Amino acid sequence: MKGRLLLVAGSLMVGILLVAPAAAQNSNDGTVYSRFGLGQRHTWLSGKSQAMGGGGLALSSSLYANPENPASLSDQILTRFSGGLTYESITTEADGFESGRLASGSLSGVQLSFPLKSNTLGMGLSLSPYTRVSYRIQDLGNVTSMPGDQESAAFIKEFNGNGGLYRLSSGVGYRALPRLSLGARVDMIFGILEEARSTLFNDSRFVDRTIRESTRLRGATATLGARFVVPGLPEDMGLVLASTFTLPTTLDGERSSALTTSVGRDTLGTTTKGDVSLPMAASAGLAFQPAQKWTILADVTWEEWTALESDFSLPGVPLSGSSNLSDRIRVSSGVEFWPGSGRPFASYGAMIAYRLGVYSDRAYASPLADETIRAVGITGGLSLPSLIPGTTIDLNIDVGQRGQTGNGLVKDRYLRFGLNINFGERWFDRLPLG
Amino acid sequence: MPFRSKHTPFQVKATTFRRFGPTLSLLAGFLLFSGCDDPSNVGQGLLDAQSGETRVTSLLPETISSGDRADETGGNAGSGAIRALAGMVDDPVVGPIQSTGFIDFVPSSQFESAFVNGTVSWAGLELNLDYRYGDTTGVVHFDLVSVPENWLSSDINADSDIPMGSVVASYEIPVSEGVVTLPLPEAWVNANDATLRSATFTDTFHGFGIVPTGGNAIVGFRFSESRLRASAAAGDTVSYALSKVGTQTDLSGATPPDNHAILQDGSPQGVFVRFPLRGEELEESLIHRVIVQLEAVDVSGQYPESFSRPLPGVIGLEAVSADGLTRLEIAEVSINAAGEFVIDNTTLTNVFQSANLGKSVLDRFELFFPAEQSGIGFFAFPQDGGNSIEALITATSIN
Repeated sequence: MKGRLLLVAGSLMVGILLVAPAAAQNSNDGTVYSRFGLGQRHTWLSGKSQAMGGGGLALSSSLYANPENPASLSDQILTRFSGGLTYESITTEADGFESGRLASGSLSGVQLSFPLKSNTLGMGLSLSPYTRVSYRIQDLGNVTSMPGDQESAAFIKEFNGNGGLYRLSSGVGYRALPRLSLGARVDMIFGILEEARSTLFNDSRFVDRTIRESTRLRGATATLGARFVVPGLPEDMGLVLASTFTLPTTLDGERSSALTTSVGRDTLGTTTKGDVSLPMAASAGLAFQPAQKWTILADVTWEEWTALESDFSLPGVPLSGSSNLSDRIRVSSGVEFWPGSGRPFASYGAMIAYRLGVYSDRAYASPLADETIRAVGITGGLSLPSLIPGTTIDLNIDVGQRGQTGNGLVKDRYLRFGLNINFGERWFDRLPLG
Repeated sequence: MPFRSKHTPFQVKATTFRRFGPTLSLLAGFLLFSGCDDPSNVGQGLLDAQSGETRVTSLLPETISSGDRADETGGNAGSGAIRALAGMVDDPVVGPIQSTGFIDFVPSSQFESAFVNGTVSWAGLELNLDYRYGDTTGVVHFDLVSVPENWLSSDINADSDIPMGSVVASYEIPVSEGVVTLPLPEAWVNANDATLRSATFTDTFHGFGIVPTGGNAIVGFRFSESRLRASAAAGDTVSYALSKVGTQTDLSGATPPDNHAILQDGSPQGVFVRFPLRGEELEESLIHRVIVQLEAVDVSGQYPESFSRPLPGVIGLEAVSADGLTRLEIAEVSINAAGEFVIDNTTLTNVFQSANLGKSVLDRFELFFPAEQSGIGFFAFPQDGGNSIEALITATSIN
């Protein structure tokens, strides 16, 4: 028990250390591409999948819950809580500009799952970012406020955005047949997208002004999932196929603007109401175990963002005219090597799982109509087991780049660190009689 | 069989630290030291289409007009107008102007018993003439009139109506600066003997009106060195200090030049300025600085050499709602070396900002002269064209 408390305390401490440097900076130090559409799309399945390219729809194990595919919730023995934080450092560059460096921290997600009937029926709750808006760009300028005035005043023009949509999900998975599990999940999607533009002077004759536009959105959708264990493979070998389908939905929204200065905030105009549609999405994945120590994943996700309609003008999505949207396609693959798999008394080093992955993610929104923004990256990670059965700490790294420097675009080279805590233990078990 | 740890609690603690400690420490250290950032203008090119430019816009008024705004002409020793004006002048530019002054007194000190118990044998006014507008080579004629009712200096504007009683005496004085002594008639002295010696003098005596009857100048009498004096016996003279002043100005016969708005000190009219703060000329913007410059038309060439025409040195600007009930004084500024008034402060910027975004009840700006100037000079602003009144706005377009 003390060991567990120690582990929790240590994890919390590292979590605070993780978030503190980022929080000390602005919360809006991410990629400029997050400005477009509803923000940069995020997916977090688990600490394990994050290190294996970000996929893992077909994953299912007693050590990790997988609420992304509700069908996999059927395979639960322990009540499980997991959560993760991500720290991201971006070096951004564009033709004709000096490169900049930005860093931010964010929540990857939290999950709670538990069996309703061991290895047959399970339930999961999760909260994770669906999109994230996080950018800050500064430009310098000069202005001469009186004709003939020899002195000009320097100013900083700053554009920033923050916020995003979160997804709060509740799903149920049921093993309908020994090899087939089915699941359903309800997702509440909500959040605020905030954009601000400031002009800041270091001159008391000028008044600094910031205009903020907030768009609040909320709605619900549902996802159906299936998971099938392919029969006929040799012992110690396994193949699981999985897929999910998410229904399109419409988010209710309201937008307001405010002017802020150092002395206060003044709401501008009236709050406007409108709708934003979210597209349907389909995903498919497989998990292959050629041997007990190895797991190989492959996943593909398609989201029909070209069908997005919005009553609000969004960057890259004007109210009229052609939008800069594409269907999002994410492809990933990963591999895990777990030397101690199936060996409960192996050495600590053997109990560590080693993971690698690659992914390609075509963003759904772009600053330019004839350009798509793609991110490619390599992931890796370690899963450190604890002395508490079913509890691990997963450390992940993600190195990648997004965009390009041509055509006035921006290339981001990013480095992400993920810290994920994954607790599991038996809850709600009756004591055996006698 | 339930899983049991083979370690003791102490071993668990030590083992956990030994296994996780180095990794966590490395991670924490990296994160702490990698927490610096350097935001740049990379990506600016992707925002240009949506971003506004910060620039300076020159905005001219859509209307400059004369409006009802009576200048505050009352004052006491502590605040407000510093002198009472009296006289009539035929101004070569704006035509006839007539001012009636009001003065009131309070005892300078407590009376001695010899005075209180005696009989006033002489009384007279000593008025410090320190302001001249008009022909300085002539004289001004006026009647000194009693004021039967109490009046408050703070209520007195250029169009105030102060009831007046009978004429006390008529005078003629030269239009030259200095203290003027005006002896009061014996009949008035006798009639007011008890009042002058009374301990309730302040409550029972309400001063004089100075009603012009001739001449071509308006003169001003200021507080300092102006007094009412009375003697009960030779060598026993008491003094009553000038305690409040007021001026009423009649412009009913004035003939201001066409197409000009006249901002005249001590008059019942002001100048109203309306800028097009919303619309094509100034789209919705983040307004960082506003400078309003005012430069009046030079009319000095229309005056003869003997005509003294002191001009006000300070001008004020007020933001006013349509009903006139909401008023915000923005600034009072002095004329600069170039002969311009330049108003440049945060209040003005914020008023423009609120109006630009449709968040204020602003209807107009009103120009005025601070009461302390107490003159009759004026500035003329052309109503059609020109840039005699101009706002220079440093702003960033929102859209």
